[in-house]
Amino acid sequence: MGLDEPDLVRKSINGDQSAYQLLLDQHLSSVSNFVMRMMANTAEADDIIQETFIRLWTHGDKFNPEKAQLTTWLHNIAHNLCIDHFRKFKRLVEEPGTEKASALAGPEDKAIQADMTATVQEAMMKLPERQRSAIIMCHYQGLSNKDAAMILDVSVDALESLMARGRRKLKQMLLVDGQLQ
Amino acid sequence: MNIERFQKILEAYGSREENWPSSERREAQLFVQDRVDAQQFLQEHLQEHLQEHRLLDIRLDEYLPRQSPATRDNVLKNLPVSSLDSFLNWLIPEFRTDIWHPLVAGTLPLVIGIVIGTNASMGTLDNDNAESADNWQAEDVYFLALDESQITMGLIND
Repeated sequence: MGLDEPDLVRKSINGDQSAYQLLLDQHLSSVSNFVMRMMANTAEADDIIQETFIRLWTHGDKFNPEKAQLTTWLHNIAHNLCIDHFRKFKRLVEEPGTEKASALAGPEDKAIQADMTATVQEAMMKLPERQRSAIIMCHYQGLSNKDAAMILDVSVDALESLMARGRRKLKQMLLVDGQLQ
Repeated sequence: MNIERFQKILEAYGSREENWPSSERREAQLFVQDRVDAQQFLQEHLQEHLQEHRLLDIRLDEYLPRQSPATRDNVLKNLPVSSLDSFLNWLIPEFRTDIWHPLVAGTLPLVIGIVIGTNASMGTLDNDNAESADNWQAEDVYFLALDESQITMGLIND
């Protein structure tokens, strides 16, 4: 192929769909996982994932490869869309897990996995949004602390403080006497 | 690296070394392995703490994201296209935008050439018309002059 991401983004801005599809294939899974975890696997997550990648198509010229990697830029867009959604539909976020149970009904092991996922998901959704974002970005997404801090617009120290407080709360919710619940 | 910083890393990033900040990872690993005071501190204070973070990391791994296989197709289907693209798609289904862009770029000089050529020739025609009108008038005067000279010559001959 021989094209790096900034080249592919430039081509994509000029309407090259094959370049755009390469970028989509490279980043869809990671951005999708991030949004699904942020949004507690709700149907709205699909809309946010789509909107994130449509922004890449329509506003790709705003991506500056000297400032950030494309994955960080996409996570930033996805994160802002999630936060916008939480602000608009606060009540929906406070009631996670309803769709999940019906979507994953099936064989026994699937049901157990769904139950485990639902428990952690419920605990995650009880965290303040910024603590949840920080943990998802660093624990699941493998973003560096600097990139995660940039997305949340805080210092690395503040990011670490968010993560530490978030993990402390998760321990209280998910572990009993230092053991798995 | 000191005990306070190591504890802070553990509390923020958890027990997995791959999640620790890349700039401090090696230092933190060496700190745990080599420093006797760290080992003692770990034994006395952090061991339980570390175990809790290990369990929490395992627990967090249970949060699986839902997979949505249709997302890729939906993204591609919902990409906004320009009115020219949609017209071409309507005109020729499956018309690919990456084909018509170079095509338009290639034909643009031809179109510009035709426009310039047409304008230039229109200008020339106008000039020709003006000149032919002038010539007609000149020829008329010339013939009149000839007639007069013939009269004059006739008078002389007479």
